[in-house]
Amino acid sequence: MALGTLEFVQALVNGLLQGGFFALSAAGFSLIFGVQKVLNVAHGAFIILAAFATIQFSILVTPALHIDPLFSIFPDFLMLALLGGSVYLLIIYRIERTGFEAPLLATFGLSILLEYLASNGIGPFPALDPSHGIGAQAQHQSYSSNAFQIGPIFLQEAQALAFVMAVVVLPILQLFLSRTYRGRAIRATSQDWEAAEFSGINTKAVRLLSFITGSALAGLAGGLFAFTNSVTATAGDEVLLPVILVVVILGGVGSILGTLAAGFLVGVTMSVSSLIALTLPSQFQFHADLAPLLTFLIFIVILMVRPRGLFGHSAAE
Amino acid sequence: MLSVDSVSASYGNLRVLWDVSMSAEAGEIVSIIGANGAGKSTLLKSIMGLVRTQGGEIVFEGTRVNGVAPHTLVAMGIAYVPEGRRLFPEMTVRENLRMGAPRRCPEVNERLKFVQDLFPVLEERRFQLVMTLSGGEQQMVAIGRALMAKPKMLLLDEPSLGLSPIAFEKVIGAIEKINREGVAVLLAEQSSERAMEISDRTYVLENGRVAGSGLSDELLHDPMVRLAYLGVGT
Repeated sequence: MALGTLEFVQALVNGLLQGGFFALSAAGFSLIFGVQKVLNVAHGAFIILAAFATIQFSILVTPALHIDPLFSIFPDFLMLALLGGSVYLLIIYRIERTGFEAPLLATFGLSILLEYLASNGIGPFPALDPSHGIGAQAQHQSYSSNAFQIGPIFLQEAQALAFVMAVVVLPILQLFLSRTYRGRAIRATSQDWEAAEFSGINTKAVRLLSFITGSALAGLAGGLFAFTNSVTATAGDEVLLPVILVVVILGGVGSILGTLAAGFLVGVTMSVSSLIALTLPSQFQFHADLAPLLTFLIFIVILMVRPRGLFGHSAAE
Repeated sequence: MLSVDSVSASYGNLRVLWDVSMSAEAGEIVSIIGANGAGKSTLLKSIMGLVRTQGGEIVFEGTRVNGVAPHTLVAMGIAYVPEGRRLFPEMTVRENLRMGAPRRCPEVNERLKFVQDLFPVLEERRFQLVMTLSGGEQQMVAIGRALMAKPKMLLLDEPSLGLSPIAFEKVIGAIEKINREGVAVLLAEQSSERAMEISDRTYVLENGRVAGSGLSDELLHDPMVRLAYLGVGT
């Protein structure tokens, strides 16, 4: 199969759209890791939680009130902000001073707990299992096929929205961090929390704010995820978290614009390499594995050249 | 204004301060001298709420402040210039200074002007990242950041560290100027002689205990102190 220009452009566009979603998913993780050095490995589960909420929204709210399910990203945003705040105050705050390991284990445990709740249909967010999931799946399948066309290029609506969200929300977040007092307080805390504290900054409030912001971003990403992917209880750990880690490290920890650029890079790499795989002779068509293979290859090469990521700060600092 | 009453502090099992008592009054410069490891830094950190104290009491303007968070102490009127300066490395001079003032601060421009009058070089460097500054300039930013809180009392930990004698003289001059504005100063310094010369009273720390105290002028001429801490014989 020959590689046509149109196919290539379509793959490029798909990659950019997908990359916007990756950036949106990774930005919150990067912010939280940058500020409080907490690896929130429940971030993937947070995203899936929001995705479940959006599916529930499409089942319960959309038919009753005729509200477009895309609107659910706003309640998702608020719900995850609330969850993030609670998780910080109830768990992370109590253990973060003890070092790196305890918060890592705690958020790992939290992600297992959330997955368990999701897969057992307990709690306010029943899982998408076949019995009561078929209706949901059908509804959201029909919805997710909404696409529009610019010239010969197809754009999927939710993916395009993820892209727009990423290129609008993340620069706003960057402006917030660099231009406002609270944003600077977040940066100061990430650079030296003790110095921030004795300079008069309430670092507990700052950490709470960053955890809330980072989690709320997971809410946005999760709402959009429900429109483009099949949502399973473990998709957070199996599908999202590996990509998030790659994007965060590639972009430079704590760098929001770096995350955006890295998201695009990873998205385009994956989609173009899938396309290339399709053109290979059939005996080499291991295309399902080629995308991650190429992505990680580029990841390794970039880290060899720039160990702190594309936008990371040099070790001298 | 500030009184420390038989305070002890430890790092893990290592006890660093033993029943230390001291005080500083409004308008005073008080120096704390002693060898490396005598507990000078730990004493300042204990006052600033950065080290948990055991027993004893720290009272600032009539309020017991043991266990109070550092940012609250800053709001109460104590500012701190740490050993090694601890600036925010990825921020400009101006941003570092701004972080010292509270979020809502109508008089932030007056405070900036006060700091820039004190250290005119910081005005020229205001958009530079602090890590591109010399050691002396960084120390000025650290002192400036603390002053942005408009403190009643300023704690300085080893401001001479890594500075040339000329740069240190500038810092000493600034400390005297700040003090003349009515700010009490608590100065922990290994370069004891200069610290004692500008201070009203001195405490001598030895192995985590107060080994002596008195008027700086008198201690400066005490042969024992001269031999042990100033490195000069009688």
